[in-house]
Amino acid sequence: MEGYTDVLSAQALPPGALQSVHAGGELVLIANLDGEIHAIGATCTHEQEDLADGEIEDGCVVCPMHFARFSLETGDVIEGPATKPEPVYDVRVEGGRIFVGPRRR
Amino acid sequence: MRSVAIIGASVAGVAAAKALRAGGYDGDLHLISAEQELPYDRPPLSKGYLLGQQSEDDILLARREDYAELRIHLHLGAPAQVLERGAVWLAGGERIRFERALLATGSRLRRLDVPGGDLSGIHYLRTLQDARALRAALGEAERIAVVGGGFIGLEVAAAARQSGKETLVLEAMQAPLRRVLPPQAARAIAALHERHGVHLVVQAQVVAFEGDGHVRSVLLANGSRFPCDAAVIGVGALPNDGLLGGNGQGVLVDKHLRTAAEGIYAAGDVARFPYRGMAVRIEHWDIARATGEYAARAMLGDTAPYDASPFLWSDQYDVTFQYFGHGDPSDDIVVRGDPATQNFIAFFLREGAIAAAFTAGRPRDALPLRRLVDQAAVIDPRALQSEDVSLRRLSRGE
Repeated sequence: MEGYTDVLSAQALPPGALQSVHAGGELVLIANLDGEIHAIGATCTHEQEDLADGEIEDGCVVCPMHFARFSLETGDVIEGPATKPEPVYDVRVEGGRIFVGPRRR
Repeated sequence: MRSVAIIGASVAGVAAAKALRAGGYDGDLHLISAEQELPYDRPPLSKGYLLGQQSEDDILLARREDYAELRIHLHLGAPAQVLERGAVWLAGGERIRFERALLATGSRLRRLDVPGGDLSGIHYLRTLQDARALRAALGEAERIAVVGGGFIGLEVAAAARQSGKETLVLEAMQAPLRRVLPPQAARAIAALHERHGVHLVVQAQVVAFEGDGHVRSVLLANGSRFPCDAAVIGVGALPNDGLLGGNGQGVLVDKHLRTAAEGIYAAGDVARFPYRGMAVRIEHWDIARATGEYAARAMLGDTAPYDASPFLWSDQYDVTFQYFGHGDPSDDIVVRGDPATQNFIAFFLREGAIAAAFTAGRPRDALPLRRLVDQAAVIDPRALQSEDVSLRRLSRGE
């Protein structure tokens, strides 16, 4: 899989879990939303907090610092104080491993 | 509803304006500011902006074109002078009619009324204009005296130290933040500043500034004198409640953020709102944002009561402090972790229930702490103390 980075064992990320990883020079947040794996930017666009220290709630990741919410699906800001969306990355699961691909938006 | 006037364009007012449009409001929308600048965010004024890490553009609450797009009539440099039924008069003589209004006038700084208090080199920090002057002064001055060890004063002290200045903090009580924090936490913050080279003087009562037109020293009641070539005063704020005939206590609102005046809501620093059986006025950024948004929804017919928990954060050096809820230093205090390491939580227990939590260095505990405070959870203090007990699990009732 050209352009994809092997970042994590799928087993290491149970439903509800978050993990930030390096892929393609970016810090990427890998999230397990009820069994579905999503990948968006891991650094809060508000004040650069690591979103992996936050939690998943209603399909969003909640930043632990000022509680901004980003959609795990689209990267959009669902609730402030952040105003800029997170990038969204292609993600694949193969052979029990999670791979992060190119930026989708 | 065909016309809304929002008086005050800081975070509460701008959040309200955006929330009105997001909620489908289509009528006239006026946003009135006493300041000349495009509305900006205040927290960076004592943090990133002061350190030169953020520019004026970086801290705007919205770009100029956003106001046009949202059809918000911005009235800048136009302090509201008289509020009457259905209309507000601006300086300059314009009268704006409204069906609903939001009072989001914020607060102003308490002045330190001592001899020499008007020398040049003495700064306050509330507005962007204040911050510009202080940022320039931090560039030139060598010795900075900060009067008042509250959150803003401590952030300024941290910024001054990070700019390599000799920094003095003069605090009236036994420790900085002692009015809001328990002794363990207040001591930890004092130690953090001392470790970074701040000269901290407690129980310090400033009686005068001295100088030759420009401030050169600060004099305390006990006769001690400290040289300085700039001073920053942060000794609290007073609500701008004059438009509704307030007496400096803020404007009382009900759980829908309605004032006693028909059609007029209040949000942000100026509002005194119901919280767990008390009427509280809390000068936190997050309350301003949340009450602004809430008031907008209430105007649009949302009948859910306002019940969000207070929350604040403060960045000092490389440490971020977070404070959830509304505690009192006289509550029972239970500590997890070691305050001296800047990695700890202080729980405020009132009648056994968690009323508030103050924490540093623990981002992973932030959301669980906020839930525990929201729940007013009753939890065995030994479990709160023990690092072996997961707060995430406790906060989910596991």
